[in-house]
Parts: sequence; structure tokens; C-alpha cells
Amino acid sequence: MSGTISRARPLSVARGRERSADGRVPGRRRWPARLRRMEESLVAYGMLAPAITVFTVFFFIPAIFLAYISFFHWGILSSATTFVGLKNFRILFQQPLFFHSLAVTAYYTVVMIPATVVLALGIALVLREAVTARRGGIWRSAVFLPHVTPVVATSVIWVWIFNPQFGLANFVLTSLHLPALGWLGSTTWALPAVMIDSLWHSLGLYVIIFLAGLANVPRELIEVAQLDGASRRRIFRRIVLPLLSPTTFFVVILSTVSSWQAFSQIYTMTGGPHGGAGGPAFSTTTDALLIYQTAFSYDHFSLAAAMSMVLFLIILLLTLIQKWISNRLVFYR
Amino acid sequence: MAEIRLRGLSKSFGSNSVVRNVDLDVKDGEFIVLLGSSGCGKSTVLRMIAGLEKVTDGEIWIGGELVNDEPPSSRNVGMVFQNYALYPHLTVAGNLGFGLAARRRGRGRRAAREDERRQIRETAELLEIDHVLTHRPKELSGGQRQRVALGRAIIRRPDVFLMDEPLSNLDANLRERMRLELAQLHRKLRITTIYVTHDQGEALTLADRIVVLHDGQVHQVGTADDVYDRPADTYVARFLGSPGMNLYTLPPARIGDDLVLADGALRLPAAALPPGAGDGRPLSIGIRPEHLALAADPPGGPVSQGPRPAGSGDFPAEAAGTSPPDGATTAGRTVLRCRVDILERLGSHLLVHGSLSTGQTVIARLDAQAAVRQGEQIVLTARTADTHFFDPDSGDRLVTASMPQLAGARA
Ligand SMILES: Nc1ncnc2c1ncn2[C@@H]1O[C@H](COP(=O)(O)OP(=O)(O)OP(=O)(O)O)[C@@H](O)[C@H]1O
Ligand SMILES: [Mg+2]
Repeated sequence: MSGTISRARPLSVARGRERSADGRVPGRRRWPARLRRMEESLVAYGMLAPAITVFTVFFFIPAIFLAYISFFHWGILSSATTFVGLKNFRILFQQPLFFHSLAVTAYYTVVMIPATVVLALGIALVLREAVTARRGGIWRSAVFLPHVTPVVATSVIWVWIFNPQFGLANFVLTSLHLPALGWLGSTTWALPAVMIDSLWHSLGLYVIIFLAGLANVPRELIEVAQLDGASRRRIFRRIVLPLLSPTTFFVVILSTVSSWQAFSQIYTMTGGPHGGAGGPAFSTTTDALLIYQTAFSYDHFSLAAAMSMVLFLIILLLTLIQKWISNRLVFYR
Repeated sequence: MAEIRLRGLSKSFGSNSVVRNVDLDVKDGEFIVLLGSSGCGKSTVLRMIAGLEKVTDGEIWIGGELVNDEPPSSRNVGMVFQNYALYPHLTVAGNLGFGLAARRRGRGRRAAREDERRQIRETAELLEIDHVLTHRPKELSGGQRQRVALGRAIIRRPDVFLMDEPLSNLDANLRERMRLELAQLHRKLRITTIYVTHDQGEALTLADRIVVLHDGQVHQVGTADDVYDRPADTYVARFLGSPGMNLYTLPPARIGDDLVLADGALRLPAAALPPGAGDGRPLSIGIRPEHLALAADPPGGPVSQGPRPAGSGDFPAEAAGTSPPDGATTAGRTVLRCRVDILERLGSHLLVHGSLSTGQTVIARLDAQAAVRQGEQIVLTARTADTHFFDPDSGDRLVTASMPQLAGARA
């Protein structure tokens, strides 16, 4: 969203300059150049106003306020607001649970990114190769559908799927002569169960993005490579993947951010409003979940704000690193 | 190197029959041009030979082998696409070397790589792109891209070289230069080539033989002279030449020794007719615009109503036998009477758009100095040897005694 705003301004400035250079726009001659430019800027800002307003009220002001209260002792009900400097951060860094939650989040992200990329790309390739154009729409819809369902509602269904006694997951495992798992009751398998739910829910979007990216790889390039004697594998690795790299990069960024912010599905699947979310034994307590609980269960808003600041810095840093890596790996036509 | 044989080659997309029963023999080292208007199935034929499109019916033989079921990679075919289809993320060297590396098997890797580098260098030198080997395609000019595409196709010396309108994305000057370079390249490498174009200029200059394709069917196979001087049917007659041949289908009437059509708008000696033609049956007659000349001695009195510049009727009648200059006699020639509608001055020559009394149009390509004015009546003549006859129903060429049809010119 910030991209749209920052891009719009140079555009209107550039257009204003262009007009005043030729100076002969019919019917506008009476207007001095400066007034005309101002008018154009006003129109541009007017059109951007709704977006800017929404962004300001719901993102910008809360973000500033969050940064502000992370340096105060602040409660949602208490009127007393005292400046405490870096105390919240000091408390934070003395909490083992905070570092534990960072580790859980990192684990979650590190699994989710490759799983997302590999599965989404794989499904996109299968959809493109194996499905005729007429039936393609149905399959694409089927893959995309989970993404438009409400996370909280479908996560309840996943809780049942992962039920150790009656659930579909263990039924499948035992049918394959594999041992049944404790899933949401196990400190080892609770987070993977959440990951499966998240993948199911989010893959559809990434499949569509990859399908669009694949459609942009010119057919002739693949045909030329075939004539050049390249195997399917070589064509995929040397032609399709490099040309797809901007799409892949986009998917990686999206899934990184959404993994670091994962909340609803974890909250719902691991206990939700009944308490105990993030368990068993904090094994699914991600950063976002800890922030939520600190703020709303323990009423430590300032501490939660400090955590959010740290989370913000981590995501910013990750994005910068990814951008730096992408400069070397991503090929933009 | 290899010869190519197409037997009854057909292709349908669903119920849409795009290529129909194409037979063609391409000799080893020959340069064949597939010529036809847009959508006639040229690319489809080429893509079937390359193996990029499945054959609906018929056979494709390359170098004595039936390749219908061979994948593109094992046909050893090089192809240049209309839009070049260069790998945008690879350098020029990477583009040239992609096929070599893909085919690299066994052998000492280092030796193979050294060999590849040498081949890339040699090919780049041949095409004069050795100074841009490290550039990406988007940093190249159109002509350079064109050369890279060529180089990528020839670097591994394919048996067959296929080109699908390779010059159509270049500007006019560059196109002419590249056309010459292609001809030279072919003379140097002698790779069997099938070249697709809708530009007859390219076809006439490049081709050993031209295949005229229309609506998925082969209308004629022959040298440039064959298709131009002896078009196999009315389609080829109209398609080649710019503008194409004037064609008239008229019910004939005989007056004395002359065959007169449409109240004298068109008249020619009956002796010139193909045997059996014109006996009460309609007949199609064709004359190329460039074979028409102004008549010096119009039969039946002065032709022109309007004032003419002094001396314009005094051109010496030159020897009949070559293409006649303006002012030719009408005796023993085909004669057309028409009114001048539009004059198009094109520098070196003058295009006259006229109409016969029947309303049919005639186009004549005259000398730039020809004394013709808009609105006046003129008489145009052509040698009977330059007059073509076609069957009005089938459109097929009728063979005359003076101009025998070459055996095998028609596929
Ligand atoms: N994959 C396809 N599916 C359906 N129809 C096709 C397909 N490819 C080509 N056609 C049809 O086949 C006909 C011939 O196409 P082709 O590309 O061979 O023409 P062309 O002679 O190369 O024309 P151009 O000079 O415009 O390139 C066209 O009518 C086209 O619509
Ligand atoms: Mg084509």
C-alpha cells in the first residue's frame, strides 16, 4: 500500500512539468503554470485521499502509537502514563519465553517458506500441464477455495481432523501402517499440525500467483530449448525457474511476512478462547501469539508494544536481506 | 545435412483443417521458401517438421528417416522464430552455447567445454557478433538479436534449418541487408533450409524453389521464374507480383482471326490461344501490369479524346520479343482498351489504374514518362507470349504452344 502512495507523487509531478513545458493546453491558457500544477496535485491527492485516510487511521497512527507506548508504562484502563525509557525492552530481553517464541516463529517460518514455494509451484505446474483448458477453471477454483474460507471456522474443522482418536489424520497414518500421532496434544507435532492447516489455507493464493508467473514464460523459449536438445529437467531448471524468479521472490516475501505474523490459525487450533492457546507447553507460542497474550490476557500493553517493535525490526531486517539476495538471484526482464 | 520429404502432410485443430495433404521433396542443401498469405498454415507446416506440433495425417521424412513420432530434440533441426525467442536471462554466449551444453554427454568435461567455447567464438565471428558475447539480449539491436537467433540455430550444424519469418521484425533497410547475408550464409553452410515468409521479395531473392501455399494447400512448387512466368493457377498469378496479375474471365466471341472479348475491350489473336480454349466457352485471361504498354497505333482511329502532349505518339516501335516499351504496335498482340481512373506516380514508374468498358479494373505499370492523363481512353497492349490463360472453373493454367508449362512445375 505504501508503494502506491510513494509512486503516485512523482507521477503527478512529472505530468505537471510536461504540460508546462509545451505550455499550450487548449482552454487552460489563462491558468499560470504554478496554479495549474497545484490544481493537478490537488486532484491527485483528492483521489488518493480515501486510501491515505484508511492507511493513516488503521496503520500509520497505531504504528506510531505502538512505538510511543513501548517507552511508557501504559495500561488500557489505567490513566497513569509514565515514561520508563528502555525498561520494557530490558524486561523483554530477560524473558526466556520471549526468545522461545522467537525460536518457535523462526521454526515455523523456516518450514513454511520452502513448503509453500515447493507445493505451490508443484501444484501450479500440475494444473498447467495436466488439466485441459476447459476443466482448468474448475481445478483452479478448487485450489483457490480454501483461501477464501474464514481461518477461524476452518481451523475448528482441522482440530477435528487432528483428533488423536477419531481424526482423519491418524486414520490416514494408520491406514498406511504408520504410527498414530498425538498431534495437537504433543509438543512435537502441534506446530506441524498448525503448519498443515496454514498451508492448506494459504496455498491457493500462491498457486494462482505461480500460474500467472508461468503463463508469462514465453512458449517459444521452451520450444527453442526443446529443439536445442534440452531435457525437461534442464528446461525447468535453466529456463523456467530463472524466468519465474521474480514470482518466486514475491511468494517468498509474502509467505515470510505472513509466517512471522501467523496468529489466527494457531490461536484457534491450540485452545483459543478457552485458554491454553500456544500450548502444549508453549510449543506453539509464536511471537504474534505471545504479543496477543501479553497485551490482552496479562494486560501488559507496553511490554506487548515493545515485542511488536522487535518483531517489526526482525521482519524489516529479513526483508532487507531477502532483497539483497534477490538482487543476485532474481532476473527481471 | 539431409533431404526432407513430406507426404500427404495434414493438420487439423479440432474441425479446422489448417494444412491439407502437402507433398514436398526438399533436396539436400536446398533453400526452399514457403510463401503464402497470413494464416495459410506456413508456420504450422514448419512446426510440424520441427516436431513442435503433432501431425494429424501424413508422413515427415528427414534424411531418409520417418520422424513423425520423434521428439523435437532428436530431429536435429535448428529453428529461428519470428520474435527470435532468445533466452532473456542468458548472455549472447549463453544463448549460443545452450544447445551445445544440453547435448554434452560423456566425454571429458573440460575438453568439451573448451570445444564449446571455440564453437561459440567461431559462430559469433561468422555472424559478426563476437563483440557482444557478454551482453544480454535486451542490450542488443534488432539486427544483432536476429544474428544471435541465427547463430543459436546453426551452431550445432543441424541437418535442417527452419526459419519462420525471421526478418519481419526488422526495418526495411536492415531487412534487405540481412536478406543478402542469409543468402551468403546459406551458400557457405549449405544446410537444407525451409524458410517461411509472406514477403514475395524475400521469396524471389532467396529461394532455390518457392512453394506457394494457400489455405493449407500447395498451389505451386517451382523456381522464382516458374512461379512468376508460369503461375500454375489464378491464385498464384494474383498473389505474385506487385501488383498482381490482371485477370479477366469473359465469354469470348470470334471476329475474323481475332478473339474479341466484351465488345472489344479486350482483343487478341486467336492463334495465341491454347488448343481447344475459347470455343464458345468462357476463358480466363491474365496479363501482368509490367507487361502492358501504351499502343502506338491504336486500331480504329485515335484513341485519346483529350489533348496529348506533342510527339507523345511518336515513340519508335521497338523489336517485339522483349518486354515492349511504350508505343508498341497492336498487330499480333493482346489489346486492352480502358479509361484511366487513377495515376500513381512511384518515381521510377507510373501505375495506371483503369477500367474496361465492362467495369473490370486494369492495372498497368508504365514508364514514368508515359503520356497518360486521368479520364482519357487509352489502348494497352502486351505480347501474346506474356498473356496467360486459365481454366475459368478450376483456375488451372492452360498450356499454350508458345509457352509450354514446365514439367513438374505443379506439385
Ligand atoms: N494451436 C492452434 N490451435 C488452433 N488453431 C491454430 C493453432 N495454431 C494455428 N492455428 C490456426 O491455423 C491457421 C494457420 O496458422 P499458421 O500460424 O500456420 O499461419 P501462418 O501461415 O503462419 O500465418 P502468419 O503469416 O500470420 O504467421 C490459422 O487459421 C490459425 O488460426
Ligand atoms: Mg506464422
